Amino acid sequence: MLEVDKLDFSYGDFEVLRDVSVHVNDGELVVLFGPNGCGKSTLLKTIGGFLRCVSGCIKFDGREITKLPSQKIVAMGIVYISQWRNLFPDMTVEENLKLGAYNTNARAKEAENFDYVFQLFPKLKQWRNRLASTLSGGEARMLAIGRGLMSNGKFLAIDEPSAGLAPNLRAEMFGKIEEINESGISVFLVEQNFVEASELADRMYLIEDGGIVLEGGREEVLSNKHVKEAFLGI
Amino acid sequence: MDIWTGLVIVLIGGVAHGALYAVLALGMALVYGVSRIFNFAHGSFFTWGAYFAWLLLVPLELNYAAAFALTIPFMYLFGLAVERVVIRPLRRRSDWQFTSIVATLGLAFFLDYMICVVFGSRLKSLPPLLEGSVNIGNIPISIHEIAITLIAIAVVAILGLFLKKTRPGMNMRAVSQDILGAQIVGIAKDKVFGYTFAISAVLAGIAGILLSPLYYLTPLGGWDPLIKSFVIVAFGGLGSMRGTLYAAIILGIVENVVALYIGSVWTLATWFLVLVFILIIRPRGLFGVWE
Repeated sequence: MLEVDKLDFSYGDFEVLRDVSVHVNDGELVVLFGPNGCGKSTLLKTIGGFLRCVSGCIKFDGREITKLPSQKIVAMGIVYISQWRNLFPDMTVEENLKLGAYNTNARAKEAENFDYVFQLFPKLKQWRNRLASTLSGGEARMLAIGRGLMSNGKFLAIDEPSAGLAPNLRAEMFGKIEEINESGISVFLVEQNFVEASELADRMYLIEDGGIVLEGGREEVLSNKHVKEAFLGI
Repeated sequence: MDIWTGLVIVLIGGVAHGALYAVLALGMALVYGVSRIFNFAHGSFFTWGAYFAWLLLVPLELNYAAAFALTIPFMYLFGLAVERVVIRPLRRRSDWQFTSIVATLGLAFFLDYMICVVFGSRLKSLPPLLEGSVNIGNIPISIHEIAITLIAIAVVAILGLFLKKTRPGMNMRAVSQDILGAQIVGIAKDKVFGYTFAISAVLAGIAGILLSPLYYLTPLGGWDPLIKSFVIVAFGGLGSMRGTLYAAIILGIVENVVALYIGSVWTLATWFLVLVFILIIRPRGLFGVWE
């Protein structure tokens, strides 16, 4: 469904992504993990069209989307859910969700998607008239994902949804993401808590220093010597 | 006339002036809130709106309804064109916040000069909206002043509804609150920057028609409004529409008080004093969201 081929990205002279190639098949949940600051968010932002890569090619459903502006990419069905949520602080939960349904496909399905989001996150329904700026970290994450779902996408690129959450909230968050994936939406998940995330993953990628160093299924990755030493302290 | 009547008149007059200033300042506040640009050519849009209306009202002898009806689309297209040609190319640069200020300042001089070229630099007169005056208590108030105040209030109310209830209005609020968030939901930010700027030009133009001294239209008439808009927006708090509205009314009253009790030569100085006062005591302004 999504193919990223030999992507290079630099902030000025600072090379962030080098020759990165990943792919996500229809319906898959793929996890991308790696140390801080090595390009995970940048990769998601480039896929979403918020950043322009230096070279390389991104294809979605066979169509090249490398040079498209972000609004066209969202309209095609790729939804980015950022690490910092980027919600609208002076608007209510309901207004934020409504704005999520901005593109034309989403507007047609607005009522349906509101039902889906409220069923998935019942607390959002409870808080529908609260200003987004009053939400706590975990609550804001839920709203960010809810808003992303309102965009009626078939592909969700989620950036560190569990960062900073308490363990029980993390489990809940991953549970919801799994539910979303099971309903047919492909997910490309960037996660620090990759061990927990690996339980949902069909496949995983490890990115270090701007390059992909490992690709494989859960067993393969968790038993990899380098992964064990560097990340699991074994 | 006793002190209390005087005070009441000053307050009501101040609020009326405040409404007029609000139309003007909200234009500048919108552009800053949505695209973080200070438009130093805001005063020139004010003047162009007034002169364009003059053209329709005096040589072409149309009425005020036609003048508004034609000036509004003219200013909208004018604003769109300026944004596209002057502002958008600068936004790609990393120092855009600075270069856009310099560019709009240069544009202001250019636009003022173009008024001299197109309309000539001799003073022009705008006819009053409606003739005559009424007596409220013992005080004569011109119907023109009542009319322009009502129009200003209507414009502010319509703008408020537009921002709250319409799609473009919500898009503008979204972009001003979180620009990446707006892009994430698929809003085309360049289009929003464009029509925000166009709307602010319309507001400046309407303010130009309402606020220009009736018998004293000059090409340099936009600089006072520019300074006053700036003070109002800073006082109200950058990024807050509500703050700008309240600030406009407060400053309208202050200006009136100063004009009545101290002398109208001091009004402009008062504006500068207010600006200095805010910058020292509360740089954030009344309801400021950013520094």
